[in-house]
Amino acid sequence: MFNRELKKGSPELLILALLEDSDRHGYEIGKLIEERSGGKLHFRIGSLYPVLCRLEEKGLVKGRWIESAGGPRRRHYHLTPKGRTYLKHERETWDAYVSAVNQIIGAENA
Amino acid sequence: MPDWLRYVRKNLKLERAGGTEEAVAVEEIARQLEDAWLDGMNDGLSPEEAERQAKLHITDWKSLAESLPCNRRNTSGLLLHEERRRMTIAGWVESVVRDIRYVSRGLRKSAAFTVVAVVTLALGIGANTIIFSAINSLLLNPAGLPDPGRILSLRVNYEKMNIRTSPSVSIAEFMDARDSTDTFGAAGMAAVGNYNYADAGYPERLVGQRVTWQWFDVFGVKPMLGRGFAKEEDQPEVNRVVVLDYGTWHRLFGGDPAIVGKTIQLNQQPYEVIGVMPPEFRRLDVNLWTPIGLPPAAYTLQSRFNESYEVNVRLRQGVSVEQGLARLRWITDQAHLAEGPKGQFARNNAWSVTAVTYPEALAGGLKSPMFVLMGAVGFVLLIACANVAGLVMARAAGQSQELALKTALGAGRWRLIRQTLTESLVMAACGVAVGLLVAYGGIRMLMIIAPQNLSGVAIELDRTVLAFTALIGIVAGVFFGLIPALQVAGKPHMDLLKAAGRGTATRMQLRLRSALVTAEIALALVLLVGAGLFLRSLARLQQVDPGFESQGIMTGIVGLPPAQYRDPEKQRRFHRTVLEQLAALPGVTSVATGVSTPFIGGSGGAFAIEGAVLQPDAPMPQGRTQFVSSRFFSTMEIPLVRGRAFTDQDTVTSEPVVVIDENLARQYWPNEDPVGKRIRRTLSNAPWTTIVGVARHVKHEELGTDTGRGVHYYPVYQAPGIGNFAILAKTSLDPAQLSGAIRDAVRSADPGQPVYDLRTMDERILASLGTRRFAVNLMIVFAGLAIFMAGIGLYGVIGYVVTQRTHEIGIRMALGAEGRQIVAMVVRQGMQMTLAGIGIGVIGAAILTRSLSSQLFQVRSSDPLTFSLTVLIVLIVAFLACIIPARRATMVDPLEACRHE
Repeated sequence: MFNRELKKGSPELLILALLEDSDRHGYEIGKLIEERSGGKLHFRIGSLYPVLCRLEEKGLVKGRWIESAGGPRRRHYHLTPKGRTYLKHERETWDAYVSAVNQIIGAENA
Repeated sequence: MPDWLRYVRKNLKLERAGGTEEAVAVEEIARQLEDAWLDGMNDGLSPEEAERQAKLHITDWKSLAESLPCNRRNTSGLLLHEERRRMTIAGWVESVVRDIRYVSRGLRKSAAFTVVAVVTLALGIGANTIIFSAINSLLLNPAGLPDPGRILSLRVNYEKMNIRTSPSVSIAEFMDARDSTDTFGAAGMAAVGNYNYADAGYPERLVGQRVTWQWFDVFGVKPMLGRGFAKEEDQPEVNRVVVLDYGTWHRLFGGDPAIVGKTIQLNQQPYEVIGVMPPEFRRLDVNLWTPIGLPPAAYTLQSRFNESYEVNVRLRQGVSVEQGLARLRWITDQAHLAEGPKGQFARNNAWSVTAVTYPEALAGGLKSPMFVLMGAVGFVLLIACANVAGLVMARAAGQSQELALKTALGAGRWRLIRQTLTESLVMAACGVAVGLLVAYGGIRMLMIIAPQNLSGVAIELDRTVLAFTALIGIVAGVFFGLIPALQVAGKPHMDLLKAAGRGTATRMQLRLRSALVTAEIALALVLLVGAGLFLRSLARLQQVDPGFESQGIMTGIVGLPPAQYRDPEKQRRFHRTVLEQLAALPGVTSVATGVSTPFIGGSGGAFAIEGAVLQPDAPMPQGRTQFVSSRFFSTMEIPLVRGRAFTDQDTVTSEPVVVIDENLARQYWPNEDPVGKRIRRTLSNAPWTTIVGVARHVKHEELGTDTGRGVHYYPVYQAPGIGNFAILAKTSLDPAQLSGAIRDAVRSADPGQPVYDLRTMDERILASLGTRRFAVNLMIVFAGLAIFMAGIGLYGVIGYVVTQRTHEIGIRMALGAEGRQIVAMVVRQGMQMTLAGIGIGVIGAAILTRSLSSQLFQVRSSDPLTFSLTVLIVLIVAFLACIIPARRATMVDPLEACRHE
């Protein structure tokens, strides 16, 4: 019912969610995950980068180089229409998963 | 700041470090590490500590490298790789199938467009298939022969006599080749051996080849029934066995599977059928093969220069054509070194033996015309492609709304290109299918008009041809699909949407279509010029005076079987009876016979001049030898410039005499009267003969390529053998009506003898132009097709322009423009394209036709008349193509046109 990626904690879902409202570059994504989770989730470049590659390969995100004034260029990612649909679907799945798990382990219902 | 790029590159150790994807990965990871380092610095860490922290981000470089997509493809496990590949292929196939279904639906919807496009392509592809299949069957892959390029056909040259690559060679060359076992795996020699086959009723003439026993080994073909010849059968008197050609076996014996072992009557002798050759082994309509059965004494080097045999050899495995030719040069050298008159003769005449590959021998004079035709059909296909590209673009303009919508909905450019290309390839595939049908019918028509050296070859749509056709179909599809596809690709989406809103083509698109039409006109013009030059050349040839009056002469050939007609007196009796019978017929004004006469065979002959001392390095006097009956010169109306013609008194018992032609007289008796001088044919122990007359020179083989070689004529009754001869009957009536009379005359001389190859002399002369006429006819067809297609292309563009400008034309007419002015406006636009096309075409033709010079007769490749007429034709066609849409433009109702907006 739930896919394997999801059970591993799905960094994919996190990345897609972060790209939903804005294009971001790779390090920024890792930084945001850490910030928004209050430091609870920490992905190192070595583990996040392969996920980004995979997402791009699947056509869910698209990366392109953006020259920045003064600094070196960075690769910014944006969500493709396909990625948007995928995110919507994954989010629903995640919600269903979380509520199912909660029901079992008896956490207060969200 | 640390050099992060170097750091990443060093640690990542990518297999294909040079690729784009790899470079992207390295740069991006380096940037991220740099960001992390900067982050640490911002947090107030020391540069060293910030660097250490940043480096902690990646500890397991190996698994990172393996997880990168660019690397996974190369280094990760085989299973993953395979799986990915399978998925990619499956997905690809699926999407291609989807695309094909989609475009097929679209094509079905616009049926008229599809039919026109497919028919246009089919004509182009069909024409290419026809010519390529002819080249394939003739030159590349003569049917039924394994490794035809390794079979060599021996030729001899007499440089000093201006005789090159003569196909008749002597027994001596055959012996030399046969004994060169380290170079040639098999050698075969053949002579013409025609047979009268009498089952019941009128005897039939069968074309046979008398061959040495290894003949079929040279070709590497075995009989499909029975066997080939055994060595013991290749001897005099025991050679009464025959191998049948497949077609003959079917025609005469109904394909009787039990034919082997049966006895048939050939030349009134019993012959046992020992084999039947397979259907692929066809050559110049040979009906049967028998062993040559020469006596052992015939195999002597003394036979050198007595050239009347065809010799083919097969190169031994591992021996190159070059090595084979080197061996022949060695044989030549040996002959030159020979002592005595033979060696001297070889040296004096610069005699040599050489060879051509068997396919080349088969193709003969057709080789160059075939390649010219291949170029011509290539042009036709280019024009067809340009036309279809124009059509596709016109249609795409109509569909721009759909295209814009698709783009807006996020269809990638690549997808659109792929779809356009898929559509082109689907159309090309239909074009190939219909084109093959065109070719199938075309080849049958080709065989009807083909000259003899092509009609003896079975032209088939074999695998090579099918592969070729598929290939040109794909190339054509990509070619005419790519232009519109690139248009889609090169255009920003907004342009597409805007264009869609207006429902018009962009100016760029119109320019491209005009350029295509201009190119079409240029290509068509080049073809027309080529066809025109060939046509003019042929017309010039047909005007050439052969030197005799060919009109009203009926000809036929008789071959007396040596077994029954060994006695020369019997041969002479036969001649006399035939001549008397025919002369007595009403309407027949004159009758003659001849052993090889103009346009009916002929052989060369060296001779000696009495009293003349040959310089040590001078060649023997040479001329064409002919044996003719007493009325030959009057029947052919060949004037005598000196002395007398033959009479009935020139018989075997009278003084041997000879008539020479003026060319021979000029060459060997430049400033004296040859009449009364004596000459003697060499190599046949002939007696001295006295020159009694000098005749006007006539053409002998082809109107165009007369070598001007002199002739020595002898009275037929003084000839050593007159078994094979031609009958020439002149009539004031239609000569074709004499066939029956000639047949009757021969039958009354001997009911067992057939007369064959009954044709008027005019037909024979025309047939000598066969190859040229063939090429001309095809060139005209292709050039006609080309200009027609170019005209259609122009018509399409102008028609389109008129539709686009309906509104403008309406306004002009509302403002008082007259129909005439509108017509002029539209026609002017078409003529601009035409003139540009003509300009390019004339330059192209001037360059390309230069290579045709060698194939033209008395016409320069820059012939102004041909060029001007061609330009005129193009202008007329272009004008017609423009005037129809132009007239339609004047029908525009100004009110309607304005409301249109």
